[in-house]
Amino acid sequence: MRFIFRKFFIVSVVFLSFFLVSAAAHADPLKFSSSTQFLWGDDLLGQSQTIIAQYLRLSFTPEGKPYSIAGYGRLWKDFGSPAVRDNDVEGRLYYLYLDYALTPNISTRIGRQFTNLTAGTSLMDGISLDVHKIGPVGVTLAGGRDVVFSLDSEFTRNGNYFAGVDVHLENVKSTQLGVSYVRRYDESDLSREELGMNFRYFFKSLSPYAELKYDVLSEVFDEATVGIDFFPMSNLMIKAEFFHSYPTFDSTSIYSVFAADKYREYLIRAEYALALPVTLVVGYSRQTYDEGDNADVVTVGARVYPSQDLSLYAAYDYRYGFTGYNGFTKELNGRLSGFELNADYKFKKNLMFFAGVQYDSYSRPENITDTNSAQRYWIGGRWIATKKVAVSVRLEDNDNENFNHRTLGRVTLDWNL
Amino acid sequence: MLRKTTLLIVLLIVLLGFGVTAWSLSSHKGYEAMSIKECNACHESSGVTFNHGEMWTKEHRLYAAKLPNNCQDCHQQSFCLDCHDGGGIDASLHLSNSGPDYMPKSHRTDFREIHPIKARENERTCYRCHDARRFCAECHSKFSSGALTSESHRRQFRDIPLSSIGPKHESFAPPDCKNCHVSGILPKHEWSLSHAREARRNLASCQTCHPDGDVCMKCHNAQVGLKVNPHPRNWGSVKGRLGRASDNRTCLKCHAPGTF
Repeated sequence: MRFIFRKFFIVSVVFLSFFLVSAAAHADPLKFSSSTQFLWGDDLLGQSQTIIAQYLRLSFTPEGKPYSIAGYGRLWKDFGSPAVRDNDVEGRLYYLYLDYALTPNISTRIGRQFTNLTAGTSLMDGISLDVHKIGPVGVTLAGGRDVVFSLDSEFTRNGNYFAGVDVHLENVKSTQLGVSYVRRYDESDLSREELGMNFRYFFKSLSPYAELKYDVLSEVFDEATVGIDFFPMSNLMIKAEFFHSYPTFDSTSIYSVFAADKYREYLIRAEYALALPVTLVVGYSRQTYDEGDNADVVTVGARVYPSQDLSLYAAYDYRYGFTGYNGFTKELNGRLSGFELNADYKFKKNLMFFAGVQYDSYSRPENITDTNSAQRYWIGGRWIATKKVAVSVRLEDNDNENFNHRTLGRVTLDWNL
Repeated sequence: MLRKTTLLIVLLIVLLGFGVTAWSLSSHKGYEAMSIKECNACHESSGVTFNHGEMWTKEHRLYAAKLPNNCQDCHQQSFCLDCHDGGGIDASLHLSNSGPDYMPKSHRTDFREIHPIKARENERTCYRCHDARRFCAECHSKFSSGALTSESHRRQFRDIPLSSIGPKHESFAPPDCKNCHVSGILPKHEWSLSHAREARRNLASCQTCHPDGDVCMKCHNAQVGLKVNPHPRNWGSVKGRLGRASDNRTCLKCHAPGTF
């Protein structure tokens, strides 16, 4: 099956390439992007990787016509000797679909597409239908073959299907409200049945919101987010949010019969956004688990624009609390503390530079030896050679408990038409 | 829980009866080439706070899942899939990569060592992009279990001796369990306590190395081994629905036909 889909993908890409090359010279409605990438370095087990990847993305939108086409995919091969990934020719077709407007208020999308409803998300080979303006209501229907990407290839079993419906308010001032229902099938057996609801309301400087997911088969709210945004000024937001999750599994998985613990998170955050030159964010969240264990997380960040051509970014977060279990010391808590600093600089209109550093210090209760740390540094540049062609280069070095120096690099040639 | 949530929904809907502002979803086509820092110039003057702030990576889920949304006014689907499925046709030069896949900014420094900590926060964050049975299992299968972080795996069940001088459990086969553990009674081994805690806290992490649960079923099985019951408290009310959905194929992994 995998062989068949790989062939299908390669054929699709080759077909589209011929189509593009022949149509490109005189077709304004056609937009086409290509990125040829060379990536090298060590993989996670220290083996060399030397990858050539080719991306293609296209859209064809003829003016005055009720249809359009969009597609995106990638082919790659690792010429090194990787220990973690495969080194065959591999491919991913991310999407390839036809949009067709049946009437001004009814449109359909046919082909591989990403569908995102509150009750469930799918990358599917199938069809979706949007119906607008049924009074204040709109309806979205979607169904097809569920596509799953594994580490290197595509994995989809026979009888894996996704079907969903979303009914939502449209063009109602100040209010967003939608309910959705999703079913998934695994080898033609019902593996998931979920109900979803999302809500947001705008009332002067307050905006309460909620998103709920209910697992019908397990009879639990497997995910719930309830919060409120407060805008005392248009550039200051204060957020308070509660998040709940209870792990559930496909009914066809043995894990669906096991007991699990709830996870909850209480968050408060303030974000102050000046157009120029500073954006600040500070947040705190309390994470709780059953049996009384918990963790505290503090986040601080800033983005600064000292000039029109320079952007600086800094973020720091600190987490202390439940991280595992050490049977010898009875310790439950661990710590993760780290930051990122990065900068973008536009040297000329067609030449930009990028650089950054990340650092993490962490300890886990299972690791009784010591605290560990990890660092990553990178520099890069992008040269826009012409309106249609750009070249990027990036170099990275890693220093951590597994590597003294793990280097990664990439060069990309981007071509837009 | 159900009653509390229902009450909350009712309260939120009641709010709809109050006040009207000028907010409504509007098309942003034509602004897609604009940088984020320029958005607020317009939003401030119109009194609508823009939402692509510094924590947008974490927050966008709620906006993207609701319909209708105006994401497509500025973004193609490739924008979503590049982050969720490792693509990189427009990858930022601040993003690192793992093999051919690009990693979002949440995957900081040495994510191989840090991800066990992150996975013990909200595990759903992992599974919004990765399929535990495939993506995680394929990678974990390349590493030895002795290198894994879990206490229960550092000192594994098979390494536990029967006594200070006795043989280890590895010398016994599953049918031998009942000879010592009559009626499936387990002694208070540290292993049995810690693996249960770890499993309940992040059951999906078990799936990353044991996608079919074969190791679990050596003990959590109605027919062989220790016959330890793994079911949650509400099992009586949900087992029928789960069984019918899977055509009982999950039940039959541990139970004999007609016995559940």
